[in-house]
Amino acid sequence: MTGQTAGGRRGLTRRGLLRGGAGAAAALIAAGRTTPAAAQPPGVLRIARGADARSLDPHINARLYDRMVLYTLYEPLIDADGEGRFFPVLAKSWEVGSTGLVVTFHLRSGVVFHDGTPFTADAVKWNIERVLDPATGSEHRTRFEGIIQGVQAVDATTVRIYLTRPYPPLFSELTDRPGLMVSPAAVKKYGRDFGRNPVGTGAFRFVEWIQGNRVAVQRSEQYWNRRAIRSTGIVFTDFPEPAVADARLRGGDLDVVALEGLPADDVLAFQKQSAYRVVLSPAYRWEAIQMKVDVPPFDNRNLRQAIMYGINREQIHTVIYRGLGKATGKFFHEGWWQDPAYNGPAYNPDLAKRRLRESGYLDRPVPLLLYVLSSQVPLGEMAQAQLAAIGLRTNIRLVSERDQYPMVLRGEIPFTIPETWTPRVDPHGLSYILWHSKGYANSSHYRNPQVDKLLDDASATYDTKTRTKLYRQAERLIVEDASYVFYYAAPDYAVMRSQVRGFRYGFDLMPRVAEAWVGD
Amino acid sequence: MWRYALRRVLILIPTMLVVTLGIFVLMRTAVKGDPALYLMGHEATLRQAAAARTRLGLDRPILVQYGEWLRRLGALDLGRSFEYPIDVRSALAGRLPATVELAGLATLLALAVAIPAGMFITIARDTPAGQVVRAMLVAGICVPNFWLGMLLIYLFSVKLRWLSGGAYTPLAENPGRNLASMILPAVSLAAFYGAAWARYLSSALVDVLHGDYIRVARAKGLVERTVLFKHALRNALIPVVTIVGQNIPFMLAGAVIVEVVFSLPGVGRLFSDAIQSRDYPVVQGAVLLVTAAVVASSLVVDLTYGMLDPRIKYD
Amino acid sequence: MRRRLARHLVTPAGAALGAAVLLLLAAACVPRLLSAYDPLEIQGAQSLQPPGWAHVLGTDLLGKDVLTQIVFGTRTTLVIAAGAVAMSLLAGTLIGLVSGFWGGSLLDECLMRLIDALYIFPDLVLALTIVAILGPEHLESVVVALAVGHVPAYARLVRGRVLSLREAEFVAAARSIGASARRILGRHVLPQTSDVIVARSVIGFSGIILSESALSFLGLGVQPPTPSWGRMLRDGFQYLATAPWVALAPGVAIFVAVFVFNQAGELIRDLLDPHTVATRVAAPPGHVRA
Repeated sequence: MTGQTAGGRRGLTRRGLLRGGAGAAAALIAAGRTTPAAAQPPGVLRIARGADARSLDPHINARLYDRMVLYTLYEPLIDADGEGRFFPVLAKSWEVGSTGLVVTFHLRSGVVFHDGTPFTADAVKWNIERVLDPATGSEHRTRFEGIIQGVQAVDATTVRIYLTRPYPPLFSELTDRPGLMVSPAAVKKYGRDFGRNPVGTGAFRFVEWIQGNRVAVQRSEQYWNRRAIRSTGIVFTDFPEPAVADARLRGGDLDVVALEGLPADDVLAFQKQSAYRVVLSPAYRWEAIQMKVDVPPFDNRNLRQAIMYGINREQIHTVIYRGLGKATGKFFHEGWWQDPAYNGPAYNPDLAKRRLRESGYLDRPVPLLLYVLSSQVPLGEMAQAQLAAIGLRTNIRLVSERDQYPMVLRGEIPFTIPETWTPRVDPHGLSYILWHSKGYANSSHYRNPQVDKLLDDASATYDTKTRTKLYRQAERLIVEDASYVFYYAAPDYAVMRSQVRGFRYGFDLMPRVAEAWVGD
Repeated sequence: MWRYALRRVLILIPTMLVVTLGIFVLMRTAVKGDPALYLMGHEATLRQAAAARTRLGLDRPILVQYGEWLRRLGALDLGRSFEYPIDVRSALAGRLPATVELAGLATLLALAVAIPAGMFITIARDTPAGQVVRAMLVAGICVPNFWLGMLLIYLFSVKLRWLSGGAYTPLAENPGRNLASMILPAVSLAAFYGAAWARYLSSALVDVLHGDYIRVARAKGLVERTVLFKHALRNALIPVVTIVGQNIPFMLAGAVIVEVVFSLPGVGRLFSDAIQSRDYPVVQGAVLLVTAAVVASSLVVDLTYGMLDPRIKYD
Repeated sequence: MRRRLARHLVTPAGAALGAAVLLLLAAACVPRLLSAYDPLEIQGAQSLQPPGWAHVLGTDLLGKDVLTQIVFGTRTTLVIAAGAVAMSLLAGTLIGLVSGFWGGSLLDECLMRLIDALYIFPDLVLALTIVAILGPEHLESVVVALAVGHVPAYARLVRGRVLSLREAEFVAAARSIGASARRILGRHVLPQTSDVIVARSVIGFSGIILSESALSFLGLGVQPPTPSWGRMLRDGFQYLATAPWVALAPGVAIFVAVFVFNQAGELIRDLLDPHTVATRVAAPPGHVRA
């Protein structure tokens, strides 16, 4: 297997190339096959992901983790770097009007979609209206609905978004899937099949998608920033089992393994070897135990706090996560809004026992049913043992990856571990949907008027200083109310051959791989 | 014979109707979970899910939905996947090559083991070598195929790095790499059948060797090898063909788990994913495909049997 | 009969088999006698220890002793297998008796179509579907899911035997003196079918153990912290590259259990029916469905 490296990088498929029909790229790849290894031009990047793509239409049914592929095909107006600062992509610049109700974007000119149609202000208007249109069936509609009043294409390269109220988190939303620009002409052409015939403005154009296996893309020669792109193509192969992906990386058949939830032991093993490099995301994905606070016994704040103090975060961190990431009791870990002076509650068995006594459940124990994600059984067993140590008995039920969130949302599982969310580029994003009484993802039915007010006020001003103060206050209240018991936060890890260059993570924990390539 | 075949197919139609209706109703009533919610991930809201249910046609009465499904089936349209932007027929067609190749390779491998091994344990019944082979065959029957798969991955991918476990390469793209990606899964799937068929062949051989015509052949003074190869094996293969044919659809069940272990893009993994994400149309289509495969293979077996053994007549 | 039994058990193979069955039963009944550790105790400091003196088969992620887990998992496996075998045996025999006794009737026809419909599904596919319906959270639903797939085999076996017995003299005699159907079936027919089903059900054990481990491997088996071989395998798969013993050891346990019941079944069949060739052709050894 390894001997084949001399024959050049594994190319895109012949069939795929015929279908893609780009002669230039085909020639390049063919050249890559015959050139001696030393003079080899950067070729095709081979990346392992954790699951198959669900849809390549960013607005409809694309999974969170499809973003790695989507960002090679499509682009947003603006994106965010590792520190959460916005930088221009399809928009050259932008400004917020004095009332805070109008946001104007000045677009890059001369940009074309892969199907040859031009990217203009009309296309931006069409895209945002597509997400807003109930008939589209976009699950991201709630992120614009009631906030964006209208979109106006002032001229070919100027677009104005009118808001119903000042809304700084808009920029964050625009960096995610609802902000990715698809070709209006292609959507009209393919209709509901657009999800497997994606057309965007990105650095790579779509080649093929073999379901359950891989997605292949190849470099777009019309790309406006063509010089920055060194790989001739990218193949994303799905590997639901990390052990299999690891074996392929070791065997030299892969360049990058970017699986969500790569076992910590594997990351550590690769870190020790000089032939491989481990890249960490700048932001953190947090994990928590979630409780539905309007049903007994979880409506009892003392009981929730008993759990909060009874969870031994250090033990989880060292045993389950092998010391990677950090043991923590809070949820803001990145960006300007994180509070360096606060680390949330820590393990305190005595306090936990006291709270349990105060809750009244020590004397009349109730059997608690803890729903554990079926891929995280050891974590569940550890939490179970830790709670048992403070006198709280729990039974475990396994719940599959796909069942967990729908069941949480429908209120069918009031006590579950782990509930995990990736950060957005604005603190408003998650904190509003999860803990505001009107948040659409407030599945714990948490309700605190003080928190509501803080979150409302914080999202209505563009002044970062004020917002920082408000969000930090809100974080403390939310953590201490313990509808979520936070215990761990970790960056995402990608393991790659040490020759891979230019691989970076976005603020949203998603790799941005368009500029990555394999060096010498 | 064709009348027989036709009658067999006609008898199976009510069975298949029962099966599809059963799955249809059970998936939509007894299986918990709302497919609309599974689509949206963490962006889901209950209101959006309700709208999605209407869009997917799930708000209509179940029998109306089933009638619609049957009507479309008449036009060979299996509907559209809830989860992926693709119709079910293309989804199945896209997944079939891997599964067919896996089952085909496994069958070939199993036969390649079963025939010589089955003959050997018959001839060398009482020798130590025969006993060893016999014990190995029992081991083949008892080993869980997914564990064997892991063992093979550990040995050949992790330790020796000879073959890469998993990551399928389509046959048309690169036959060599395709074979390299299929050989371990095929071995894991074949172990059981190779062993079972070998023992089966051995029993059939013993049976045949006690038959009168073998005694006649021996009495004629034919060499033992001729007796074994020309007379006994030929006759013993008839029941083996039957069992091979009957077993092939059951390989699909083994394929589910082997496909999961090796991350192969086959029908089995599609099916287990679809059940988990409540993708009803795909579940329905995959079930139909499996039933059709069982029916077809049993029919083919019956007919082949008739051709191999002219004594059998269909009326 | 007794002499034959003695002859089979006195061979080294028979003795080894008997010992293995006893060991499995001991592990299932008194697991604590066979293990030095608590199966539920988490020992963070002992996480993922390779096999050694303290832990013969190493430890898992939580530092639990793998051997202990395996010993405690025996009960889970055997209880599920026994439940599923009993259930499929009962249902299959009942259907087979009724269907065979009134062979050719509309009832027979309907029952056989139902059996056909079940038979069409590979049992793992059937089990996956049933667990999805019943939910994996109860041990019983796992048992039912595994049992249903085995019903057709018993039903067909019994029906075939009953059909041939129906015209036998002693049944005709019983009928002529006006015995009820229930009495004929219970007193005369059922005893005559027991030899087929006893051997089949012991072999059925091995098939169900295999299916159960597959189900647990797919995450649909018994729930933790109840130890389960299949789930140990699944959890261990993640660490295959760095800690292979976690995944590989429980596989050996599954293999041994399947092997023991498979061989015991064959032994019993040989005892009950000395000219086994015919039975072998009807059911290839170990194949759980044919």
